[in-house]
Amino acid sequence: MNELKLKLKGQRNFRPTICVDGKAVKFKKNKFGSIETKVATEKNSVEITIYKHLEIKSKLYILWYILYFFISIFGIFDVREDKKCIVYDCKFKVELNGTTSVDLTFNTSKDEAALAVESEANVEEIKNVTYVDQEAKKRMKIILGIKIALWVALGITAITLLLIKLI
Amino acid sequence: MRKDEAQQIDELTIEKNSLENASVKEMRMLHLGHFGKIFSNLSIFFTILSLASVLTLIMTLVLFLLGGAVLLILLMVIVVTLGIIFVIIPNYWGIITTVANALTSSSGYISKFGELVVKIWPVITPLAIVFAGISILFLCFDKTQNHTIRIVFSSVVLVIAIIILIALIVLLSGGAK
Repeated sequence: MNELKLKLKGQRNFRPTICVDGKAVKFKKNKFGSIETKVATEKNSVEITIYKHLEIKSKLYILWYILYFFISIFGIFDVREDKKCIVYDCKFKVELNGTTSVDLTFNTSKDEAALAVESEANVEEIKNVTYVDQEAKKRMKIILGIKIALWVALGITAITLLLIKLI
Repeated sequence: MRKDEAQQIDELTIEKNSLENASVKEMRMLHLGHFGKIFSNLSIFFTILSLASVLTLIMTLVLFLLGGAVLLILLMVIVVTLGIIFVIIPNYWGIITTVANALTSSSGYISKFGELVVKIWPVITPLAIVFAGISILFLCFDKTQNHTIRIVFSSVVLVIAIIILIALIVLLSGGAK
């Protein structure tokens, strides 16, 4: 039986989804702010997948954002969206030999890889990138357009109602 | 060879399905988090509104009581000075009339404002409590982001809203008696 000790450091406000061999694993936060987990497996190697999803990439994103718009009283109490649309996409293959520790640290610099890997074991880097999701950016613009259209429609309705009342 | 390929395809399908399940779960969490933040903002707004109504009600009541006390003192001065005050200050009766008029108009304002508060507080204060409660619940379920500060803030808002609700019940039931 092999054991993988996985530690993730340097993540700021978000908690990425981490899968070991395709299965999402639960993490615990330690006192230093980093998150860690232990995975026991019979296999000699495991695949670690780390990614951060963007809310705007959901299937029914237009409906969700219209719902947010109305619930937040026409967007007044809505949350400011992250316009950077940065996605983390990382995949590693780790050779296990007894208890193996793997420390992953998020890089702050844009030029470097998404995660810095520290381990005594053999870690094969399949994917380790951060990129700006262009589709998400496009969707952001669509949402902004819809919001403006809704505001204009609301304004016209309000003015019409006011005129009807006055006349 | 074919068996190996089939096994590999099976493993890939399982991995893809579990990844998709994980992303669906994460999307749900993200939506819950977004709703949580909106409800948190709404609860803050409604709490401020409730707090403003309570403070204005208290302030107008205090001003009304102060005005009453001033009027009482002005009338007592007439009794104490046996009317000599009218000789010292010729316009004394005018001052009393002004204070009395101000009191009458403020009492009208208080009754109007009181009516408004009575009408809106059963809606806004419980709404603030409900929104704060929902936001805490939703934010606790969202594991994709760290919401500790917002959860603490919403909890504080929840406590303040409950205190306002109790204060309003006490104030308005006291006023009815």
